[in-house]
Amino acid sequence: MNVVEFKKPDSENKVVEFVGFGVSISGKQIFEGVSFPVYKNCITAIMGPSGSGKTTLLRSINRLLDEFCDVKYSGKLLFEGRDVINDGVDKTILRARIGMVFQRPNPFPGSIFDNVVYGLRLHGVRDKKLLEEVCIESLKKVGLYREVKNRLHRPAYDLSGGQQQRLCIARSLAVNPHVVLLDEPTSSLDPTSSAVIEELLTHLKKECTIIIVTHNLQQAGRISDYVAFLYPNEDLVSHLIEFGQTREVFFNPKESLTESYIAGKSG
Amino acid sequence: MAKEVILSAKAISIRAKRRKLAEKVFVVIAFISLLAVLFTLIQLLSSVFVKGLKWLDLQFLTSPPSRFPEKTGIYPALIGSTWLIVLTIAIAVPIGVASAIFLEEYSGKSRISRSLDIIIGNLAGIPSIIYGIFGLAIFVRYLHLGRSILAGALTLSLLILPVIIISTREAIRAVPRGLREISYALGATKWQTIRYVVLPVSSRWIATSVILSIARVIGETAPLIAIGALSFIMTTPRSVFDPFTALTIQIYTWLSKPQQDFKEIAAAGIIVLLLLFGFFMAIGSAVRYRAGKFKE
Repeated sequence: MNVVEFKKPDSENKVVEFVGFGVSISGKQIFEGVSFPVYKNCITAIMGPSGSGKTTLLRSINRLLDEFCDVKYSGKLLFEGRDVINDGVDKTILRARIGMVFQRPNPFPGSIFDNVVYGLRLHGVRDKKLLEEVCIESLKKVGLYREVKNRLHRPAYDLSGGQQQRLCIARSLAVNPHVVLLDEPTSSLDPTSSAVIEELLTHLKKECTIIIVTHNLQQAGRISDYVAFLYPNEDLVSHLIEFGQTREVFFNPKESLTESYIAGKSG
Repeated sequence: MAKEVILSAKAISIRAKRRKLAEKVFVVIAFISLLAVLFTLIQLLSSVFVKGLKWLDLQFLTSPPSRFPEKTGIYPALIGSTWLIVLTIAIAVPIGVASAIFLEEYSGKSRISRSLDIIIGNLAGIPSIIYGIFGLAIFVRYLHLGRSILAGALTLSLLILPVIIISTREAIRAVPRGLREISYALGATKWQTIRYVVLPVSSRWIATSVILSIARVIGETAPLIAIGALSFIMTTPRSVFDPFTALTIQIYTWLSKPQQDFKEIAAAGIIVLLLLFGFFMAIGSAVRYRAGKFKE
Protein backbone atom coordinates (compact mmCIF):
# COMPACT_ATOMS: atom_id res chain seq x y z
CA MET A 1 0.00 0.00 0.00
CA ASN A 2 1.39 3.36 -0.92
CA VAL A 3 -1.21 5.34 0.94
CA VAL A 4 0.38 6.92 3.97
CA GLU A 5 -1.89 6.81 6.93
CA PHE A 6 -1.56 9.84 9.14
CA LYS A 7 -4.38 9.06 11.45
CA LYS A 8 -5.01 5.79 13.20
CA PRO A 9 -7.95 4.28 11.41
CA ASP A 10 -11.00 4.06 13.56
CA SER A 11 -11.28 0.33 13.05
CA GLU A 12 -8.07 -0.24 14.95
CA ASN A 13 -9.73 1.01 18.07
CA LYS A 14 -12.58 -1.39 17.65
CA VAL A 15 -11.59 -4.56 19.45
CA VAL A 16 -14.94 -6.23 18.92
CA GLU A 17 -17.61 -5.31 16.46
CA PHE A 18 -21.05 -6.77 15.91
CA VAL A 19 -22.37 -6.38 12.40
CA GLY A 20 -25.99 -7.38 11.87
CA PHE A 21 -25.32 -10.07 14.41
CA GLY A 22 -27.94 -12.57 15.49
CA VAL A 23 -28.07 -15.79 17.48
CA SER A 24 -30.64 -18.56 17.56
CA ILE A 25 -30.48 -21.41 20.05
CA SER A 26 -32.23 -24.69 19.26
CA GLY A 27 -34.19 -22.91 16.56
CA LYS A 28 -35.35 -20.03 18.77
CA GLN A 29 -34.11 -16.62 17.70
CA ILE A 30 -32.69 -14.83 20.76
CA PHE A 31 -31.66 -11.57 19.11
CA GLU A 32 -31.01 -10.34 15.61
CA GLY A 33 -29.61 -7.43 13.68
CA VAL A 34 -27.35 -6.26 16.49
CA SER A 35 -24.64 -3.86 15.34
CA PHE A 36 -22.33 -1.93 17.60
CA PRO A 37 -18.60 -1.59 18.21
CA VAL A 38 -16.61 -2.17 21.37
CA TYR A 39 -13.78 0.31 21.73
CA LYS A 40 -10.35 -0.43 23.05
CA ASN A 41 -9.62 0.32 26.71
CA CYS A 42 -13.21 1.20 27.40
CA ILE A 43 -15.85 -0.46 29.51
CA THR A 44 -18.88 -1.30 27.44
CA ALA A 45 -21.98 -2.30 29.38
CA ILE A 46 -24.71 -4.43 27.90
CA MET A 47 -28.01 -3.82 29.63
CA GLY A 48 -31.57 -4.89 29.19
CA PRO A 49 -34.31 -6.74 31.02
CA SER A 50 -34.13 -10.43 31.93
CA GLY A 51 -34.40 -12.62 28.89
CA SER A 52 -33.19 -9.95 26.50
CA GLY A 53 -30.20 -12.05 25.46
CA LYS A 54 -27.44 -10.04 27.15
CA THR A 55 -25.69 -13.13 28.47
CA THR A 56 -26.14 -14.91 25.15
CA LEU A 57 -24.56 -11.96 23.35
CA LEU A 58 -21.64 -12.00 25.77
CA ARG A 59 -21.11 -15.74 25.43
CA SER A 60 -21.11 -15.61 21.67
CA ILE A 61 -18.00 -13.41 21.70
CA ASN A 62 -15.77 -16.26 22.88
CA ARG A 63 -18.03 -18.85 21.22
CA LEU A 64 -18.77 -20.39 24.61
CA LEU A 65 -22.34 -20.99 23.44
CA ASP A 66 -21.09 -23.60 20.99
CA GLU A 67 -20.04 -25.95 23.79
CA PHE A 68 -23.39 -26.19 25.50
CA CYS A 69 -26.17 -25.60 23.01
CA ASP A 70 -27.27 -25.99 19.45
CA VAL A 71 -26.48 -22.49 18.25
CA LYS A 72 -26.78 -20.75 14.89
CA TYR A 73 -25.18 -17.40 14.20
CA SER A 74 -26.08 -14.85 11.59
CA GLY A 75 -24.25 -11.71 10.54
CA LYS A 76 -20.69 -10.96 11.53
CA LEU A 77 -18.81 -10.78 14.82
CA LEU A 78 -15.39 -9.22 14.39
CA PHE A 79 -12.68 -9.73 16.98
CA GLU A 80 -9.63 -7.62 16.21
CA GLY A 81 -10.75 -7.39 12.61
CA ARG A 82 -11.38 -11.08 12.06
CA ASP A 83 -14.81 -12.58 11.75
CA VAL A 84 -14.79 -15.24 14.47
CA ILE A 85 -18.00 -16.78 13.19
CA ASN A 86 -17.22 -17.30 9.51
CA ASP A 87 -13.42 -17.26 9.24
CA GLY A 88 -12.77 -20.62 10.86
CA VAL A 89 -11.05 -19.28 13.96
CA ASP A 90 -9.65 -21.83 16.42
CA LYS A 91 -11.88 -21.48 19.47
CA THR A 92 -9.24 -22.44 22.02
CA ILE A 93 -6.86 -19.79 20.67
CA LEU A 94 -9.65 -17.22 20.49
CA ARG A 95 -10.53 -17.92 24.12
CA ALA A 96 -6.94 -17.47 25.19
CA ARG A 97 -7.35 -13.83 24.10
CA ILE A 98 -10.70 -13.35 25.80
CA GLY A 99 -11.05 -13.63 29.57
CA MET A 100 -14.35 -14.37 31.22
CA VAL A 101 -15.88 -13.94 34.66
CA PHE A 102 -19.25 -15.36 35.61
CA GLN A 103 -22.16 -14.38 37.81
CA ARG A 104 -21.17 -16.61 40.67
CA PRO A 105 -17.56 -17.00 41.65
CA ASN A 106 -16.54 -20.41 40.31
CA PRO A 107 -13.03 -21.27 41.47
CA PHE A 108 -11.80 -24.79 40.79
CA PRO A 109 -11.42 -27.10 43.77
CA GLY A 110 -7.69 -26.53 44.17
CA SER A 111 -5.31 -24.02 45.60
CA ILE A 112 -5.38 -20.30 44.92
CA PHE A 113 -2.19 -20.74 42.93
CA ASP A 114 -3.61 -23.59 40.83
CA ASN A 115 -6.65 -21.49 40.05
CA VAL A 116 -4.73 -18.48 38.83
CA VAL A 117 -2.35 -20.45 36.61
CA TYR A 118 -4.97 -22.83 35.19
CA GLY A 119 -5.12 -20.98 31.88
CA LEU A 120 -1.35 -20.85 31.54
CA ARG A 121 -1.02 -24.56 32.20
CA LEU A 122 -3.69 -25.25 29.59
CA HIS A 123 -1.56 -23.49 27.05
CA GLY A 124 1.47 -25.52 27.95
CA VAL A 125 3.40 -23.30 30.36
CA ARG A 126 5.28 -25.58 32.76
CA ASP A 127 8.04 -23.29 33.99
CA LYS A 128 7.42 -23.03 37.73
CA LYS A 129 9.12 -19.70 38.15
CA LEU A 130 7.13 -18.12 35.36
CA LEU A 131 3.88 -19.53 36.73
CA GLU A 132 4.68 -18.12 40.14
CA GLU A 133 5.54 -14.72 38.68
CA VAL A 134 2.33 -14.50 36.69
CA CYS A 135 0.30 -15.71 39.65
CA ILE A 136 1.64 -12.96 41.91
CA GLU A 137 1.29 -10.33 39.21
CA SER A 138 -2.31 -11.30 38.46
CA LEU A 139 -3.26 -11.37 42.14
CA LYS A 140 -1.70 -7.93 42.57
CA LYS A 141 -3.77 -6.60 39.69
CA VAL A 142 -6.97 -7.55 41.46
CA GLY A 143 -5.71 -6.37 44.83
CA LEU A 144 -5.83 -9.82 46.33
CA TYR A 145 -2.13 -10.50 46.76
CA ARG A 146 -1.74 -8.82 50.13
CA GLU A 147 -4.69 -10.77 51.50
CA VAL A 148 -3.58 -14.20 50.30
CA LYS A 149 0.20 -14.09 49.94
CA ASN A 150 0.72 -16.44 52.88
CA ARG A 151 -1.75 -19.02 51.68
CA LEU A 152 -1.27 -19.27 47.93
CA HIS A 153 -1.28 -23.02 48.28
CA ARG A 154 -4.36 -23.22 50.41
CA PRO A 155 -7.80 -24.09 48.97
CA ALA A 156 -9.51 -21.34 47.00
CA TYR A 157 -12.79 -22.32 48.63
CA ASP A 158 -11.56 -20.86 51.93
CA LEU A 159 -11.84 -17.34 50.49
CA SER A 160 -14.92 -15.17 50.94
CA GLY A 161 -17.34 -14.66 48.05
CA GLY A 162 -15.88 -11.29 47.09
CA GLN A 163 -12.32 -12.61 47.28
CA GLN A 164 -13.29 -15.63 45.18
CA GLN A 165 -14.71 -13.36 42.53
CA ARG A 166 -11.51 -11.32 42.46
CA LEU A 167 -9.59 -14.58 42.24
CA CYS A 168 -11.71 -15.49 39.22
CA ILE A 169 -10.85 -12.14 37.64
CA ALA A 170 -7.16 -12.78 38.35
CA ARG A 171 -7.51 -16.21 36.76
CA SER A 172 -8.88 -14.70 33.57
CA LEU A 173 -6.19 -11.99 33.56
CA ALA A 174 -3.32 -14.46 33.90
CA VAL A 175 -3.31 -15.29 30.21
CA ASN A 176 -3.08 -11.60 29.22
CA PRO A 177 -6.44 -11.34 27.52
CA HIS A 178 -7.20 -8.47 25.18
CA VAL A 179 -10.83 -8.46 26.22
CA VAL A 180 -12.47 -9.49 29.49
CA LEU A 181 -16.12 -10.48 29.47
CA LEU A 182 -17.99 -10.13 32.74
CA ASP A 183 -21.43 -11.62 33.19
CA GLU A 184 -23.06 -9.74 36.09
CA PRO A 185 -19.91 -10.20 38.16
CA THR A 186 -21.27 -8.52 41.29
CA SER A 187 -24.82 -9.85 41.37
CA SER A 188 -24.04 -12.46 44.03
CA LEU A 189 -21.87 -10.18 46.15
CA ASP A 190 -22.50 -7.79 49.02
CA PRO A 191 -22.29 -4.01 48.33
CA THR A 192 -18.78 -3.63 49.76
CA SER A 193 -17.31 -6.43 47.67
CA SER A 194 -19.19 -5.09 44.65
CA ALA A 195 -17.68 -1.66 45.13
CA VAL A 196 -14.18 -3.18 45.32
CA ILE A 197 -14.76 -4.97 42.03
CA GLU A 198 -16.21 -1.90 40.30
CA GLU A 199 -13.19 0.11 41.38
CA LEU A 200 -10.95 -2.66 40.12
CA LEU A 201 -12.62 -2.69 36.70
CA THR A 202 -12.08 1.03 36.19
CA HIS A 203 -8.35 0.43 36.71
CA LEU A 204 -8.25 -2.69 34.57
CA LYS A 205 -9.53 -0.94 31.47
CA LYS A 206 -6.12 0.68 31.09
CA GLU A 207 -4.71 -2.66 30.00
CA CYS A 208 -7.62 -4.41 28.43
CA THR A 209 -11.06 -3.88 27.01
CA ILE A 210 -13.99 -4.76 29.21
CA ILE A 211 -17.47 -5.86 28.27
CA ILE A 212 -19.86 -6.22 31.17
CA VAL A 213 -23.42 -7.47 31.34
CA THR A 214 -25.34 -5.92 34.17
CA HIS A 215 -28.83 -5.76 35.58
CA ASN A 216 -27.79 -2.92 37.75
CA LEU A 217 -28.40 0.40 36.01
CA GLN A 218 -26.48 2.39 38.62
CA GLN A 219 -23.52 0.12 38.10
CA ALA A 220 -23.67 0.58 34.34
CA GLY A 221 -23.92 4.34 34.87
CA ARG A 222 -21.02 4.45 37.31
CA ILE A 223 -18.40 2.42 35.52
CA SER A 224 -19.14 2.14 31.83
CA ASP A 225 -18.01 4.38 29.00
CA TYR A 226 -20.45 2.99 26.45
CA VAL A 227 -23.75 1.19 26.83
CA ALA A 228 -25.68 -1.07 24.53
CA PHE A 229 -29.34 -1.49 25.37
CA LEU A 230 -31.15 -4.62 24.25
CA TYR A 231 -34.87 -5.04 24.43
CA PRO A 232 -37.15 -7.86 23.25
CA ASN A 233 -40.03 -7.16 20.89
CA GLU A 234 -43.47 -8.81 21.14
CA ASP A 235 -42.08 -12.03 19.60
CA LEU A 236 -39.44 -12.10 22.34
CA VAL A 237 -36.67 -11.50 19.82
CA SER A 238 -34.31 -8.82 21.08
CA HIS A 239 -32.90 -5.94 19.11
CA LEU A 240 -30.38 -3.30 19.89
CA ILE A 241 -32.44 -0.30 20.89
CA GLU A 242 -29.66 2.13 21.54
CA PHE A 243 -25.90 2.28 21.68
CA GLY A 244 -23.78 5.23 22.66
CA GLN A 245 -21.66 6.92 25.26
CA THR A 246 -23.04 6.15 28.68
CA ARG A 247 -23.61 9.79 29.59
CA GLU A 248 -25.51 10.38 26.36
CA VAL A 249 -27.69 7.30 26.68
CA PHE A 250 -28.47 7.93 30.34
CA PHE A 251 -29.13 11.64 30.23
CA ASN A 252 -30.17 12.19 26.67
CA PRO A 253 -31.64 8.95 25.30
CA LYS A 254 -32.75 9.03 21.70
CA GLU A 255 -35.32 6.31 22.10
CA SER A 256 -38.37 6.50 24.32
CA LEU A 257 -37.91 2.82 25.23
CA THR A 258 -34.48 3.59 26.63
CA GLU A 259 -35.81 6.52 28.53
CA SER A 260 -38.58 4.56 30.19
CA TYR A 261 -36.25 1.64 30.98
CA ILE A 262 -33.74 3.90 32.65
CA ALA A 263 -36.55 5.66 34.52
CA GLY A 264 -37.66 2.24 35.74
CA LYS A 265 -40.96 2.27 33.92
CA SER A 266 -40.46 -0.82 31.82
CA GLY A 267 -38.48 -4.03 31.86
CA MET B 1 -63.74 -16.32 57.71
CA ALA B 2 -62.78 -19.98 57.39
CA LYS B 3 -59.21 -18.98 56.70
CA GLU B 4 -59.02 -16.98 59.91
CA VAL B 5 -60.24 -19.96 61.92
CA ILE B 6 -57.73 -22.31 60.30
CA LEU B 7 -54.88 -19.87 60.90
CA SER B 8 -55.92 -18.88 64.46
CA ALA B 9 -53.27 -19.24 67.14
CA LYS B 10 -55.18 -22.02 68.86
CA ALA B 11 -55.67 -24.08 65.69
CA ILE B 12 -52.01 -23.70 64.77
CA SER B 13 -50.81 -24.82 68.18
CA ILE B 14 -53.08 -27.88 68.12
CA ARG B 15 -51.73 -28.86 64.72
CA ALA B 16 -48.18 -28.17 65.84
CA LYS B 17 -48.57 -30.83 68.54
CA ARG B 18 -49.81 -33.26 65.94
CA ARG B 19 -46.87 -32.49 63.65
CA LYS B 20 -44.39 -33.04 66.46
CA LEU B 21 -46.06 -36.33 67.31
CA ALA B 22 -45.71 -37.45 63.68
CA GLU B 23 -42.00 -36.76 63.87
CA LYS B 24 -41.61 -38.78 67.08
CA VAL B 25 -43.47 -41.72 65.56
CA PHE B 26 -41.17 -41.60 62.55
CA VAL B 27 -38.00 -41.51 64.66
CA VAL B 28 -39.20 -44.53 66.67
CA ILE B 29 -39.94 -46.50 63.51
CA ALA B 30 -36.56 -45.60 62.04
CA PHE B 31 -34.79 -46.64 65.23
CA ILE B 32 -36.60 -49.98 65.34
CA SER B 33 -35.60 -50.64 61.72
CA LEU B 34 -32.00 -49.92 62.60
CA LEU B 35 -32.17 -52.29 65.59
CA ALA B 36 -33.57 -55.05 63.39
CA VAL B 37 -30.66 -54.68 60.97
CA LEU B 38 -28.07 -54.47 63.73
CA PHE B 39 -29.52 -57.46 65.55
CA THR B 40 -29.39 -59.66 62.45
CA LEU B 41 -25.87 -58.55 61.66
CA ILE B 42 -24.59 -59.14 65.20
CA GLN B 43 -26.31 -62.52 65.29
CA LEU B 44 -24.66 -63.53 62.03
CA LEU B 45 -21.22 -62.25 62.91
CA SER B 46 -21.23 -63.70 66.41
CA SER B 47 -22.23 -67.16 65.21
CA VAL B 48 -19.49 -67.01 62.56
CA PHE B 49 -16.85 -65.86 65.02
CA VAL B 50 -17.87 -68.30 67.77
CA LYS B 51 -17.63 -71.24 65.41
CA GLY B 52 -14.73 -70.19 63.25
CA LEU B 53 -12.30 -68.30 65.43
CA LYS B 54 -10.71 -71.38 66.97
CA TRP B 55 -9.77 -72.74 63.52
CA LEU B 56 -8.26 -69.51 62.38
CA ASP B 57 -4.48 -69.72 62.77
CA LEU B 58 -1.36 -69.32 60.70
CA GLN B 59 -1.49 -72.95 59.61
CA PHE B 60 -5.03 -72.41 58.29
CA LEU B 61 -4.00 -69.32 56.38
CA THR B 62 -0.93 -70.86 54.79
CA SER B 63 -2.04 -74.41 53.94
CA PRO B 64 -3.81 -75.86 50.95
CA PRO B 65 -7.13 -77.63 51.59
CA SER B 66 -7.03 -81.17 52.91
CA ARG B 67 -9.35 -84.03 53.76
CA PHE B 68 -8.33 -83.75 57.38
CA PRO B 69 -9.96 -80.87 59.25
CA GLU B 70 -6.84 -80.15 61.36
CA LYS B 71 -4.60 -79.95 58.27
CA THR B 72 -6.86 -78.03 55.94
CA GLY B 73 -6.19 -74.46 54.90
CA ILE B 74 -7.39 -71.59 52.77
CA TYR B 75 -4.18 -70.33 51.19
CA PRO B 76 -4.91 -71.05 47.47
CA ALA B 77 -8.41 -69.56 47.75
CA LEU B 78 -7.12 -66.48 49.53
CA ILE B 79 -4.50 -65.92 46.84
CA GLY B 80 -7.03 -66.70 44.10
CA SER B 81 -9.53 -64.16 45.43
CA THR B 82 -6.87 -61.49 45.83
CA TRP B 83 -5.70 -62.01 42.24
CA LEU B 84 -9.26 -61.92 41.07
CA ILE B 85 -10.07 -58.63 42.80
CA VAL B 86 -6.91 -56.85 41.70
CA LEU B 87 -7.18 -58.04 38.11
CA THR B 88 -10.90 -57.39 37.80
CA ILE B 89 -10.56 -53.84 39.10
CA ALA B 90 -7.54 -53.26 36.85
CA ILE B 91 -9.57 -54.35 33.83
CA ALA B 92 -13.01 -52.96 34.63
CA VAL B 93 -12.22 -49.53 36.07
CA PRO B 94 -10.25 -48.04 33.13
CA ILE B 95 -12.67 -49.50 30.58
CA GLY B 96 -15.73 -48.47 32.57
CA VAL B 97 -14.56 -44.94 33.25
CA ALA B 98 -13.46 -44.44 29.64
CA SER B 99 -16.81 -45.72 28.32
CA ALA B 100 -18.68 -43.46 30.70
CA ILE B 101 -16.65 -40.46 29.58
CA PHE B 102 -17.33 -41.27 25.96
CA LEU B 103 -21.06 -41.74 26.48
CA GLU B 104 -21.41 -38.66 28.63
CA GLU B 105 -19.10 -36.22 26.88
CA TYR B 106 -18.61 -37.28 23.28
CA SER B 107 -21.53 -39.33 22.02
CA GLY B 108 -24.08 -36.53 22.15
CA LYS B 109 -27.76 -37.15 22.58
CA SER B 110 -28.31 -39.33 19.56
CA ARG B 111 -30.79 -42.17 19.46
CA ILE B 112 -27.95 -44.69 19.60
CA SER B 113 -26.56 -43.18 22.77
CA ARG B 114 -29.97 -43.21 24.41
CA SER B 115 -30.57 -46.84 23.49
CA LEU B 116 -27.12 -47.67 24.86
CA ASP B 117 -28.30 -46.12 28.13
CA ILE B 118 -31.18 -48.56 28.33
CA ILE B 119 -29.02 -51.52 27.33
CA ILE B 120 -26.40 -50.78 29.97
CA GLY B 121 -29.11 -50.29 32.58
CA ASN B 122 -30.51 -53.71 31.70
CA LEU B 123 -27.09 -55.35 31.77
CA ALA B 124 -26.73 -54.25 35.39
CA GLY B 125 -29.81 -56.30 36.23
CA ILE B 126 -28.88 -59.59 34.55
CA PRO B 127 -28.34 -62.54 36.94
CA SER B 128 -24.65 -63.17 37.47
CA ILE B 129 -24.84 -66.82 36.38
CA ILE B 130 -25.65 -65.59 32.85
CA TYR B 131 -22.37 -63.72 32.84
CA GLY B 132 -20.71 -66.94 33.98
CA ILE B 133 -22.13 -68.89 31.06
CA PHE B 134 -21.11 -66.13 28.68
CA GLY B 135 -17.60 -66.14 30.18
CA LEU B 136 -17.42 -69.90 29.73
CA ALA B 137 -18.39 -69.63 26.07
CA ILE B 138 -16.24 -66.63 25.16
CA PHE B 139 -13.22 -66.50 27.45
CA VAL B 140 -12.74 -70.13 28.49
CA ARG B 141 -13.67 -71.86 25.23
CA TYR B 142 -13.51 -69.42 22.33
CA LEU B 143 -10.45 -67.45 23.45
CA HIS B 144 -8.86 -70.60 24.94
CA LEU B 145 -8.05 -68.92 28.21
CA GLY B 146 -9.09 -72.07 30.05
CA ARG B 147 -10.27 -72.02 33.62
CA SER B 148 -7.74 -69.37 34.43
CA ILE B 149 -7.70 -66.36 36.73
CA LEU B 150 -7.73 -64.18 33.62
CA ALA B 151 -10.93 -65.78 32.36
CA GLY B 152 -12.47 -65.32 35.82
CA ALA B 153 -11.39 -61.69 36.07
CA LEU B 154 -12.68 -60.90 32.57
CA THR B 155 -16.03 -62.48 33.42
CA LEU B 156 -16.32 -60.54 36.66
CA SER B 157 -15.25 -57.38 34.83
CA LEU B 158 -18.22 -57.76 32.51
CA LEU B 159 -20.38 -58.18 35.56
CA ILE B 160 -19.33 -54.96 37.26
CA LEU B 161 -18.82 -52.82 34.13
CA PRO B 162 -22.47 -51.68 33.87
CA VAL B 163 -22.45 -50.53 37.48
CA ILE B 164 -19.18 -48.65 37.05
CA ILE B 165 -20.35 -47.03 33.82
CA ILE B 166 -23.68 -45.95 35.25
CA SER B 167 -22.26 -44.52 38.46
CA THR B 168 -19.36 -42.80 36.68
CA ARG B 169 -21.83 -41.14 34.33
CA GLU B 170 -23.83 -39.94 37.30
CA ALA B 171 -20.64 -38.60 38.87
CA ILE B 172 -19.64 -36.80 35.67
CA ARG B 173 -23.10 -35.33 35.32
CA ALA B 174 -22.92 -33.94 38.85
CA VAL B 175 -19.89 -31.76 38.05
CA PRO B 176 -21.12 -28.16 38.29
CA ARG B 177 -21.66 -26.62 34.87
CA GLY B 178 -19.92 -23.42 35.96
CA LEU B 179 -16.61 -25.28 36.28
CA ARG B 180 -16.85 -26.64 32.76
CA GLU B 181 -17.82 -23.22 31.42
CA ILE B 182 -14.83 -21.45 32.92
CA SER B 183 -12.51 -24.20 31.77
CA TYR B 184 -13.67 -23.79 28.17
CA ALA B 185 -13.64 -20.01 28.53
CA LEU B 186 -9.99 -20.16 29.55
CA GLY B 187 -9.21 -21.97 26.32
CA ALA B 188 -9.30 -25.60 27.38
CA THR B 189 -10.08 -28.32 24.87
CA LYS B 190 -12.71 -30.83 25.77
CA TRP B 191 -10.13 -33.39 26.79
CA GLN B 192 -8.31 -30.86 28.98
CA THR B 193 -11.59 -29.99 30.65
CA ILE B 194 -12.27 -33.67 31.31
CA ARG B 195 -8.73 -34.33 32.50
CA TYR B 196 -8.25 -31.32 34.78
CA VAL B 197 -11.78 -30.51 35.92
CA VAL B 198 -14.35 -33.25 35.36
CA LEU B 199 -12.34 -36.27 36.53
CA PRO B 200 -10.77 -34.68 39.63
CA VAL B 201 -14.12 -33.32 40.76
CA SER B 202 -15.96 -36.59 40.21
CA SER B 203 -13.17 -38.95 41.32
CA ARG B 204 -14.61 -39.28 44.79
CA TRP B 205 -17.88 -40.66 43.50
CA ILE B 206 -16.13 -42.91 41.04
CA ALA B 207 -14.06 -44.31 43.92
CA THR B 208 -17.26 -45.07 45.83
CA SER B 209 -18.60 -47.09 42.94
CA VAL B 210 -15.31 -48.97 42.70
CA ILE B 211 -15.53 -49.89 46.39
CA LEU B 212 -19.04 -51.23 45.87
CA SER B 213 -17.78 -53.21 42.88
CA ILE B 214 -15.03 -54.78 45.00
CA ALA B 215 -17.71 -56.01 47.40
CA ARG B 216 -19.52 -57.52 44.44
CA VAL B 217 -16.38 -59.25 43.11
CA ILE B 218 -15.51 -60.74 46.50
CA GLY B 219 -19.02 -62.04 47.02
CA GLU B 220 -19.68 -63.61 43.62
CA THR B 221 -19.72 -67.41 43.37
CA ALA B 222 -22.11 -68.38 40.61
CA PRO B 223 -20.23 -67.04 37.56
CA LEU B 224 -16.97 -68.54 38.87
CA ILE B 225 -18.56 -71.95 39.22
CA ALA B 226 -20.01 -71.56 35.73
CA ILE B 227 -16.59 -70.90 34.19
CA GLY B 228 -15.23 -73.87 36.12
CA ALA B 229 -13.09 -72.47 38.89
CA LEU B 230 -11.90 -75.49 40.85
CA SER B 231 -12.95 -76.13 44.38
CA PHE B 232 -10.11 -78.42 45.30
CA ILE B 233 -6.75 -77.07 44.35
CA MET B 234 -3.48 -77.78 46.04
CA THR B 235 -1.21 -75.37 44.23
CA THR B 236 -1.30 -71.63 44.32
CA PRO B 237 -1.61 -69.85 40.97
CA ARG B 238 1.68 -68.41 39.70
CA SER B 239 0.36 -66.44 36.76
CA VAL B 240 -2.96 -65.16 35.47
CA PHE B 241 -3.21 -68.18 33.17
CA ASP B 242 -3.26 -70.70 36.01
CA PRO B 243 -6.39 -72.35 37.36
CA PHE B 244 -7.65 -70.96 40.62
CA THR B 245 -10.24 -71.11 43.30
CA ALA B 246 -11.89 -68.34 45.24
CA LEU B 247 -12.87 -67.91 48.88
CA THR B 248 -16.58 -68.16 48.23
CA ILE B 249 -16.16 -71.43 46.34
CA GLN B 250 -13.91 -72.84 49.06
CA ILE B 251 -16.42 -71.89 51.77
CA TYR B 252 -19.24 -73.45 49.77
CA THR B 253 -17.26 -76.68 49.38
CA TRP B 254 -16.55 -76.96 53.09
CA LEU B 255 -20.18 -76.31 53.94
CA SER B 256 -21.28 -79.17 51.70
CA LYS B 257 -19.06 -81.67 53.52
CA PRO B 258 -20.76 -83.95 56.07
CA GLN B 259 -18.30 -83.53 58.97
CA GLN B 260 -19.23 -81.00 61.64
CA ASP B 261 -15.60 -79.78 61.82
CA PHE B 262 -15.77 -78.53 58.22
CA LYS B 263 -18.87 -76.45 58.99
CA GLU B 264 -16.80 -74.65 61.57
CA ILE B 265 -13.89 -74.36 59.17
CA ALA B 266 -16.29 -72.74 56.70
CA ALA B 267 -17.00 -70.16 59.39
CA ALA B 268 -13.27 -69.54 59.66
CA GLY B 269 -13.26 -69.10 55.87
CA ILE B 270 -15.99 -66.49 56.19
CA ILE B 271 -13.86 -64.61 58.71
CA VAL B 272 -10.96 -64.60 56.22
CA LEU B 273 -13.36 -63.36 53.52
CA LEU B 274 -14.49 -60.54 55.79
CA LEU B 275 -10.89 -59.62 56.60
CA LEU B 276 -9.93 -59.54 52.93
CA PHE B 277 -12.97 -57.43 52.19
CA GLY B 278 -12.05 -55.10 55.04
CA PHE B 279 -8.53 -54.83 53.68
CA PHE B 280 -9.67 -53.80 50.20
CA MET B 281 -12.32 -51.49 51.67
CA ALA B 282 -9.59 -49.76 53.65
CA ILE B 283 -7.48 -49.28 50.51
CA GLY B 284 -10.52 -48.06 48.59
CA SER B 285 -11.51 -45.63 51.31
CA ALA B 286 -7.97 -44.29 51.51
CA VAL B 287 -8.01 -43.69 47.76
CA ARG B 288 -11.41 -42.02 48.01
CA TYR B 289 -10.24 -39.84 50.88
CA ARG B 290 -7.19 -38.75 48.91
CA ALA B 291 -9.31 -38.11 45.83
CA GLY B 292 -11.71 -35.91 47.75
CA LYS B 293 -9.02 -34.17 49.71
CA PHE B 294 -7.50 -30.90 48.74
CA LYS B 295 -4.12 -31.42 47.09
CA GLU B 296 -1.20 -29.26 48.04
